[in-house]
Amino acid sequence: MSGAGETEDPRDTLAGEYVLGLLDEAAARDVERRATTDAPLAAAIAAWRNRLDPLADLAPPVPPSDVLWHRIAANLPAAPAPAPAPPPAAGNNGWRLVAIASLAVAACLAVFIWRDLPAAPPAPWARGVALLSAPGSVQAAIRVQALSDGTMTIVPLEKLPLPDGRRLGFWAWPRSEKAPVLLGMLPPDGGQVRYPFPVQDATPVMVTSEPGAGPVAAPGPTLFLGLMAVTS
Amino acid sequence: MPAAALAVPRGDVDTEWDDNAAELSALLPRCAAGDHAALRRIYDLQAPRLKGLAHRITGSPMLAEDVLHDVFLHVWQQAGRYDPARGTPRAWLTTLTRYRALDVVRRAGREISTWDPPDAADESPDAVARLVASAEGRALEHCLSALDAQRRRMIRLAFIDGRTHAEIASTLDMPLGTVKSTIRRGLAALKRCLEQ
Repeated sequence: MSGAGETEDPRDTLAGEYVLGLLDEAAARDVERRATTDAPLAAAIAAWRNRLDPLADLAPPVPPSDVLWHRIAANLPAAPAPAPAPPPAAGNNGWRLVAIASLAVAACLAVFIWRDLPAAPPAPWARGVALLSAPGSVQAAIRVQALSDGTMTIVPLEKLPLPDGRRLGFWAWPRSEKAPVLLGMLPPDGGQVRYPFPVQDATPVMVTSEPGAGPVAAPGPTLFLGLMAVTS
Repeated sequence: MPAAALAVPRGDVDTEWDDNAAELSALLPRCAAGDHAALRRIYDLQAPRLKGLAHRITGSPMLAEDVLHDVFLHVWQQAGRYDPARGTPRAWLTTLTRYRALDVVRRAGREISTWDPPDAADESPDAVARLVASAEGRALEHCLSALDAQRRRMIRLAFIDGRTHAEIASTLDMPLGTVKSTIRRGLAALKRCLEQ
């Protein structure tokens, strides 16, 4: 052993054990309580956190899945302070930038698809269903059904909000795609759209608020979100 | 082989590390003000590192993503309460991720008997290369190397694999009291070395 001088300030030892995660639940909570009034203990904890932090790099980095950010963004509660403006169109969002070209094309196609789809009888059977709700709400506001003929029907279960001069974008994020795909602009009373992808479990489906005119380069603010569940 | 693995462009990586630290410090207040793009930037900078950590602790990519989901929602809500006196932004993110991952694992009732610990007393050359990519990491690696192998392994098992005293004792087949005192002495020696 390394010999003399290894006995240490018990407060510092406790802080080190706490940061290492060695303490059981009750002992850890006790340390946290004490740290709120014991400034040297709080400082010792901070020092251990900074000292040991590089150890986290021993774990190899793992790229997050394509849907993780979307899950996070969809569940963000309202901003603590009122945001002065809606999220800017251009930002640091890597996937958005990457997707701009394909999405612009998708946007043009989508308008065409909405017009082109006949108000024909629905497809024979449902392949999957998604219930969309507003972020932070548990109430389903829109039902989306994926049908066996490669279309989706979108049925609002309540009156959809449509701010002046905006449109509703209807998006899905199939596993095969690097970014959400705009399937069309959604009339407030619902509609039907082609879905040229396999119907897969847990595909995010969302309705966004988009500018009233012009091509859509990236998803606007999410109004409703849900995940596809395969039914047949 | 180890020499090659350790040959990282240190100057560049250090600069990048420092830039990231400064950027993270600037991004947190923007999150507190409700700026989604700031949170997204933190995600771009830190998510792979944090997911790797969560994956290592939970052993599951799915659970690791659940952990990150909760961590980033927490960052969004608590960014305004982040206090630099309690650690660097990076260390704060590491702490949130580790604790959340440990919560998930312990709530799921991890069975010690099913846990397959890393055999090696030391990490792979790649892992060490990542560790020494920063000045802080190099200092830590230097001081960990100065510990005897048993102490080094226990500290690593606790931090990176999220093991408790009892789990380490069981894994290494040692009395609990010995594990506790060995780790305490290891922490004391580590602190002294890092403060030199």
